[in-house]
Amino acid sequence: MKREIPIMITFIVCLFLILDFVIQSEFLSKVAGSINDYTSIVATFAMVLGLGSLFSVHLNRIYRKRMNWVYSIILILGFAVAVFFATLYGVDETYTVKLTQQEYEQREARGEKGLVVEDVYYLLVQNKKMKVSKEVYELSALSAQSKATGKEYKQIRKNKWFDGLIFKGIYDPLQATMFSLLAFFMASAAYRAFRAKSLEATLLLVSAFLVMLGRVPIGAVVGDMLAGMIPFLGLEGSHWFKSIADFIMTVPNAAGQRAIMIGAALGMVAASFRIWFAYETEHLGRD
Amino acid sequence: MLRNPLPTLASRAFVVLLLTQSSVQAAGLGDVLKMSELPTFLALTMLCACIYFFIQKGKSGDKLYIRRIPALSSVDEAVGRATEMGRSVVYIPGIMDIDDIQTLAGLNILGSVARRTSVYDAELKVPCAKSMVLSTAQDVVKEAYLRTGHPDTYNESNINYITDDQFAFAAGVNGMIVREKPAAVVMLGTFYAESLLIAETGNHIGAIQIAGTAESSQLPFFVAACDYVLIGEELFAASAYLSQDPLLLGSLKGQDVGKMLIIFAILYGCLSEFLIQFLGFPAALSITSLFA
Repeated sequence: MKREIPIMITFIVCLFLILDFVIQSEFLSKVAGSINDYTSIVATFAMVLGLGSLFSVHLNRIYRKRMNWVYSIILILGFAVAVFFATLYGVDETYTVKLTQQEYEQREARGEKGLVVEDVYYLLVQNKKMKVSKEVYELSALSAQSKATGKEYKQIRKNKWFDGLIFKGIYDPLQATMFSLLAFFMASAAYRAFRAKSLEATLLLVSAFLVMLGRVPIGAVVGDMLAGMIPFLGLEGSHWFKSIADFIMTVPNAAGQRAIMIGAALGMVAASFRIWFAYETEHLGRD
Repeated sequence: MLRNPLPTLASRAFVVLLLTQSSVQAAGLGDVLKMSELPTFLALTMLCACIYFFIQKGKSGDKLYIRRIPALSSVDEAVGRATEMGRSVVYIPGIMDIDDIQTLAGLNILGSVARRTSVYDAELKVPCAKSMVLSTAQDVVKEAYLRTGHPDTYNESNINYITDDQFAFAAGVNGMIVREKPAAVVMLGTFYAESLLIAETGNHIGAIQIAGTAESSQLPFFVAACDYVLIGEELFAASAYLSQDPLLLGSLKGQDVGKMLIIFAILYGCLSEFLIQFLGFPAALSITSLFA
């Protein structure tokens, strides 16, 4: 049964999603929407597993003082600090602090920023005060004795710890650093790949060279120089390499990409079919 | 992949597709069915029918040929190299979650790779970017080790979660590769900008690299930095190739019929447009009006 239950769930869920794709039915739309919601909910709970694995590996590394165990301490400390500040101040750019009228006046006197006063509306129903929006308050058919208004005092403050320090101060620069490495890695990969070792490699080298010339300003300069040397062609030299580059990208490159995409899409359909009808169950991992 | 072209079957499928759509419209089922999605649904049904037909042929014992895929033939070489050098194999099943078909394809191949590493007694490390992929990968690898009779060599902490964040995951994996210097790095699944970061790091330490993804924008980076690359549909054919299961090989054959169908449609579309534009044939011949 350990294997049969996931197979049954896969089959039924896929069936509902495919029927929703082709049949106009409110019931099927609701079911398909719910399935997508359940996926998000399960993924959120599954994060606990990931965190458990993370802590297990790094705590073990610290306990046994394995190589570079100090970095495991930094990881766990960083996690704890981020969770601490996120719990206190939230993860948005700003957070709201509720104040009493007295606190509001004191802070206003001190010249603090971000102070907000909002009108709030209440309906008194069965001796209970219910907060409602202004539209509901005005439209409500209750008597004047059952309605009440008030004021809410707040201060909107910048989340300088989580958003300012951790996110913008540490995370954003680290992410930009990793992304910027791509430029250097691309140059290194191109240096290795663009060698005339075979016919295909030579074609790659020549087309890469032409496309690069067509994309940089120096290509226009080189084109003008060549046009000066070959005047009988009668074409504007500064556009040569750009036109060649555009042709390479829009005709052979696009054709190749589309062919790969068509093949990949067919492969996806076949793989999905095999998983749907349980011809392929390796990912279930159980016998 | 296709040894014996099947133009007859594909052309028949094309005609059936046209007739079915016409009959659905004639029967007045436009209120029940989403007519805009009907051509896609019918094409999918046709493709699935072809796949099912050839799966049954595979089941009945017909020998089905599949061409050699160098990247998959080199998996044994990669694992053997890791064993000789006394180093590990790092397997990365992509950065997307379990609902992505490429991740599932990657996990299916992980089972085959895990069986080989357990037989050769090489260490297998699987860094994961998503928690559900982590638990599935642990199950797959454990089952593989059990099946080959080496449950004692299975180490659960070798399959671990790094982080959900794309570049933080790349940084974590790069750190693992630079510190542990694996002999082989296998990247099969969905990859985006981090593909080149990981592939170049593996190349830098001299590991044999096998990569595969259906993301066409990342394939050039893998081709430049890796030793072997599975391009697009080869990733989804890998599980059939490695297992040589007749049922799975049959599905590949069915997929090839689908490809023939698409080739026919493209050729028909090109020819019809040429005839309409340059020879004045009626516009009703256009492929878009046939499926409108």
